[in-house]
Amino acid sequence: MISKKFCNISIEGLACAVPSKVVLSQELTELFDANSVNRFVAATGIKQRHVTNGKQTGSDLCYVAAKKLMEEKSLSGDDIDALVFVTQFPDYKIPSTAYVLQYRLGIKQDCLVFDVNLGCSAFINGIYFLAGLVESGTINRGLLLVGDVDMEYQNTSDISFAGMFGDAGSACLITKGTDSINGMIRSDGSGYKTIWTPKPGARFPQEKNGPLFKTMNGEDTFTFTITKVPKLLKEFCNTFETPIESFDYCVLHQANLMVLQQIAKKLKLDMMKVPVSLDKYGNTDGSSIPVTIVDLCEKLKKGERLNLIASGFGVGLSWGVISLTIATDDILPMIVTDDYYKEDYV
Amino acid sequence: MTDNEKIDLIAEVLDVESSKLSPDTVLSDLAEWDSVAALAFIAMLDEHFGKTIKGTEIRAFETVRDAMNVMTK
Repeated sequence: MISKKFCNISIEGLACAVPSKVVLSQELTELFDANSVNRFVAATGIKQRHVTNGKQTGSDLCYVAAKKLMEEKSLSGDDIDALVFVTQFPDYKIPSTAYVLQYRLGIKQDCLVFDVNLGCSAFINGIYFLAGLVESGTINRGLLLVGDVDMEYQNTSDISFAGMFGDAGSACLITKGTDSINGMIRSDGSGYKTIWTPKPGARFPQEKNGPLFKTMNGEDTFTFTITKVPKLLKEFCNTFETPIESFDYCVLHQANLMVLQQIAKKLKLDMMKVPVSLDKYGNTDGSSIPVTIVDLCEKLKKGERLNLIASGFGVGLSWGVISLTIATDDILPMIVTDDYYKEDYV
Repeated sequence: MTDNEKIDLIAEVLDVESSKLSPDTVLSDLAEWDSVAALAFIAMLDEHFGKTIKGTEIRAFETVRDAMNVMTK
């Protein structure tokens, strides 16, 4: 069973960055009829999203979040022993974008650096990898970066894609400490076509026809989510003997409001305990859990310590649950930025 | 569950009055039968009948009766 209690470990800090450009869901009436737009907003809960200016990438947003977080924590590049960048939209085909981020952030060469290709379960899996490395003594401190910009959806004719995705990047520091993190991970490769972008890749290198963007079987994704996720959350709570009511909040990947409500209903959880950031930021893929924590923290007092359970789920298929504690003082306010890396290659 | 109760549940999924629906209503004639309604149908089926359904099965529905036929325990 892929589940583990990681001891003597702490979340040292968390920061998120979003682009300044805001698109209101009501602007979708330029492309779709008003009734469809109203139904979309009611079902998804998305009123607006922050989207890239076209030049920013997921790594740019992560860079800004990481730089600010390292400054706040008075850390230099010599203090980071591992950098993991989780994205579905790397800057280049080769090399891993994590190496560019290592270079830009001035992180030492004595460091483990790699990309992971994951979507909405990115934060959960990323915490799990790095918690294992810290607990085993392989590293003292890891930097988890999760970020995506979904430029490919901006010209779609499907409202559930056109209005769904917001852009964001997050940075999270995990270090040796006095807390513990519990984690449980599940994967089901038989569902690899449920959400996929088959081209271009080594399997279809020459094919130019057909969609080059992500396709999603919305119904099957929804069914997967409302059945597997509540089940795993219950299993997690039983295994670690931590009742779901014992957590301050249950932070779910912000797929859409219907998904959040359905999971809450199955867990008999009041929606007051399920924070929503969809209204402001839309579905921000892998960074939606950190975005929701940052958004939540802006409504809370300083000096609090949050005991959170979180679940991410999506492409793979992949889903997982973690529980962690974090001080509100270690969560930076949302960063809004238009900065991007000016690549000199033409 | 009676047919009328099933139609009430489908009406709730579509956010329309039950009186607007009959078993012979063609779903593609309803503007409300869209991707959002499909998800609401899945949630309803899970909640009231404890079962799941494939996206391809939902997309094959032609009439309200086709939807009613899967509403069994």
